[in-house]
Amino acid sequence: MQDDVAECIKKDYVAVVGTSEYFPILTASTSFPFIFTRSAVSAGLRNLEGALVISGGGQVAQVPNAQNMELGQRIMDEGGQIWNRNRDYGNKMMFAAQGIRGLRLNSGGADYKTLIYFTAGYNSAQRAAIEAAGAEHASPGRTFAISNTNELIAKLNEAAFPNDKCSRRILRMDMYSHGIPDDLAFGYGGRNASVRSFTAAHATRLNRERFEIHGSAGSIYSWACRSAISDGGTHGGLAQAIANATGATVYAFSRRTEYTNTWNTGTQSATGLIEISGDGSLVVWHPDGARGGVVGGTSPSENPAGQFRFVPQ
Amino acid sequence: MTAIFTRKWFLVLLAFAGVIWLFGGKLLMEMDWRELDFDSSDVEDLRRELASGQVGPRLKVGPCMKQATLVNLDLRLDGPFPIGAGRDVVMEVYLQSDAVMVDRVYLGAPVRHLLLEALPVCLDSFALPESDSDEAAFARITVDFVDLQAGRFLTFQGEDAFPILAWRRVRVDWSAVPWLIPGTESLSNIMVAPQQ
Repeated sequence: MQDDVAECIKKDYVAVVGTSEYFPILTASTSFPFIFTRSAVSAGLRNLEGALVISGGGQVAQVPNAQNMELGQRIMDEGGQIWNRNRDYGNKMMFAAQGIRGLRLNSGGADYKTLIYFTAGYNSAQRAAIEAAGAEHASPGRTFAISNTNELIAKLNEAAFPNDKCSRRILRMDMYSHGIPDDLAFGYGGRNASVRSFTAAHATRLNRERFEIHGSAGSIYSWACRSAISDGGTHGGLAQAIANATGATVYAFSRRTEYTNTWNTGTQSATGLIEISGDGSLVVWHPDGARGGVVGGTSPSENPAGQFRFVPQ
Repeated sequence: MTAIFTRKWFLVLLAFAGVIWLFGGKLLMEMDWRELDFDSSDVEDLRRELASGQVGPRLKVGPCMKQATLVNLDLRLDGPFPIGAGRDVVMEVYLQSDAVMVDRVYLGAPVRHLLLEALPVCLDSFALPESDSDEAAFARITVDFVDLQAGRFLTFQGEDAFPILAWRRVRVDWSAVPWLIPGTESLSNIMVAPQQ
């Protein structure tokens, strides 16, 4: 009987979402052309993780709802201009949107779908939107709001699902966040960011058993910038450390990652894009998550390009 | 008349430049305040820590599974202080590194000099990092200001880590203007250098 219980395994798909803080001084700086040139500011922003979320070139087609078409068209036409005044607009919800997209597209084979998001930096309206999308796309009761990395580790290490005797294993985990070498910076740009950072030391506190599935290993994808390189320039960095600690296969980038396709519908419809307003913040959102996925960036050019795979050493 | 006009405008421009030079950083800093996280627990936590004297290095969760040893760090802080500093505005300094066994190293009134003695670090060996190419030497510095009265904060963070544990004597400089470093495409508003 004990053996039967031990053999009973339920697989979890987990999407982890960090906060996307903005840099308000850059908004203010556009009012000071005698101090900053707009081109200099723009050059800096291009290289901020996923900053240029609003991308031109999208076309609106097959929009069944006039109101949606109007907003979708306006976002396509004016999003860049709004973004110039309000850095929150296209950026704030990009990690959350990718997390919802992950639930939709990457959870194949899992028994449960879990969304874990850091609340720091999101206002109540934005949190409500994430919760609503989680209720729609994650398994019932599997959307969790957390405030620090210790809570994240505790959630990932949970041995079972509520009211389920089977052992919980993580089939796949996608992490959407800012990243700097050696640190998945879930709270980057916010106050007390250190309590929301995830480093190699945190990885050693993850329960290796959670990533073991019938003799095989789960997979972990970091969609943060530069997870695959260390501060000292060593290839592997935090990604290799996570692989070693968990036994999972880890996929990560040495260069920055770009979230430029998050709201870009390409040649498809912009239906469903909405705006969330509240507490002085206006942001773009889609209840079904990002339209396009995360891609590898081009900087720093001295780092190797592409997504790398790391296995335990 | 023209000479007076020119001289007058020259003086006006000179005064304007002087004001920008003296107060520009501070003015930009004042534009950078952000609301705390939509609840008052942060402020309450800080007030409680201040009242109970928990203002020095704060230990991180988790034991050292390697070799625990100690290091002294001499930090000189050169950035502008916000208006109200020392009254309702307190400063927090964070040192982030897997090797360092504390996260926040200071909470209190803004100060220009922090001497951190016997800072606990956790390394592969007892040997302290001596070279700035040693992976164990790297750490990040973050400087936050929190306005306890208004419930708002400023944060200064860098995108890059520096070999602080090897340098030992470190100068930290922050700016309300994010640094745009030519060639590196980095955006950072805190600079760290070995102290001369």
